[in-house]
Amino acid sequence: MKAVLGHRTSQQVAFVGPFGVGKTTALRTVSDIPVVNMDETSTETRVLGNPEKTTTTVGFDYGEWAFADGTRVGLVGVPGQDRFRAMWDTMLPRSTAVVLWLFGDRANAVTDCRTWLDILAARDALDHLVVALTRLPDDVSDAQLQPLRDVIGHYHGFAPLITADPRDAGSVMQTVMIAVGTPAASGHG
Amino acid sequence: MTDGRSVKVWVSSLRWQAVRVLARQIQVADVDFAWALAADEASVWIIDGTAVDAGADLSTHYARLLRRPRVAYLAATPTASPPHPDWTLFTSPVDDGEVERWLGLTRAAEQPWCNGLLRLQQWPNLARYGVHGRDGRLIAACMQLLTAPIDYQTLLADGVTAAALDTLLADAWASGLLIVNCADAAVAEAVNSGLNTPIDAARRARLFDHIAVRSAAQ
Repeated sequence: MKAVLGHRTSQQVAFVGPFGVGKTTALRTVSDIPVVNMDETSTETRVLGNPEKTTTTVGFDYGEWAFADGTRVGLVGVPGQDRFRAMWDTMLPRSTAVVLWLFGDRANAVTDCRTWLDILAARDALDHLVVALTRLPDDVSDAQLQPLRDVIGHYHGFAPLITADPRDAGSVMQTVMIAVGTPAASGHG
Repeated sequence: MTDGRSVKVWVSSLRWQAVRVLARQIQVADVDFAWALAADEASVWIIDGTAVDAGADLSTHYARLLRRPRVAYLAATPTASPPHPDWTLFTSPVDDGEVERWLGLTRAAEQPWCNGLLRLQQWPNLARYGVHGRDGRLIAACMQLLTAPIDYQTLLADGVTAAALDTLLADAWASGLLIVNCADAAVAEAVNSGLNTPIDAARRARLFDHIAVRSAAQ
């Protein structure tokens, strides 16, 4: 929390999404302050068979990033497990925008997308939304993305759907810039 | 009129001198000119209307193309009728001004976003544009395009690079994500004549709706 005190941010962007998708990685990639986090060694790595995922966010991660004009934005990584619903109720309404990170290469990507959009809709957190797909090439065809666009379209008329790499600072910054700047769901006339 | 992109011209036959003359007129009309070896590679066709049966076969082929060229149908008499309604009839000798106006419409069909007001229906995947996609100015341009109709020159005036914007708009147009509202009915028709996909049909309807509204208002 020491890193947070004294910093004034006008906006806050929440990173949400399923367990292991790269929310914490993304936040750490771009934060220009030491990330405040509450990680524990994850037992779920053994259960879910994800040897690359050795920790999990049990509280939330907090970092910050400055736009080119000096404006600072707070970045919050929200835990992805279902048992942290109370955390979602706390963090999502406070966020200016949301980046929903999803595994782009999984067969259940559409189902996952719908599940998380329901979560966001229940907390009135759809207005400024970006859906970021990991593990896909940047030149993935629009046809391949269309099933997800169709699902997103039911919740938000034109929320951005982009491919992104949580390990790439430029890619993560792009998602944040778009999330902060995208017109609200009701703003498309 | 040139903007760095070439006009690729395919000619059905060079037998008739009038065809060669028209090709020369296009070449000198301040455009980047290149010959296309195959009809499908061309953005402009010059068809010798005096050649027996050439028009009918080409009309059939033209109708099947997803992206249609602009077609100059050169006939011997002004009473001739091009085999396809989208083709433009020329009779020899062709006036230089007539060629320039027709090429202007060709440009409009190739870069429809340069004419009229633009609107994006959804965000493109900006990740596919590399560093340009991470440029705040291109992101801001997309935000403007999503919020309210805006013209191409205004977008450029806000600082986004033309190359990046053209690439994004070309992709959006090809994907059916870009709506272009042309105030000029002739330009709208030129743009519309190049469309031939299911997505294009919906876009064509929006173009015609706009034209109808403006016609009623005038």
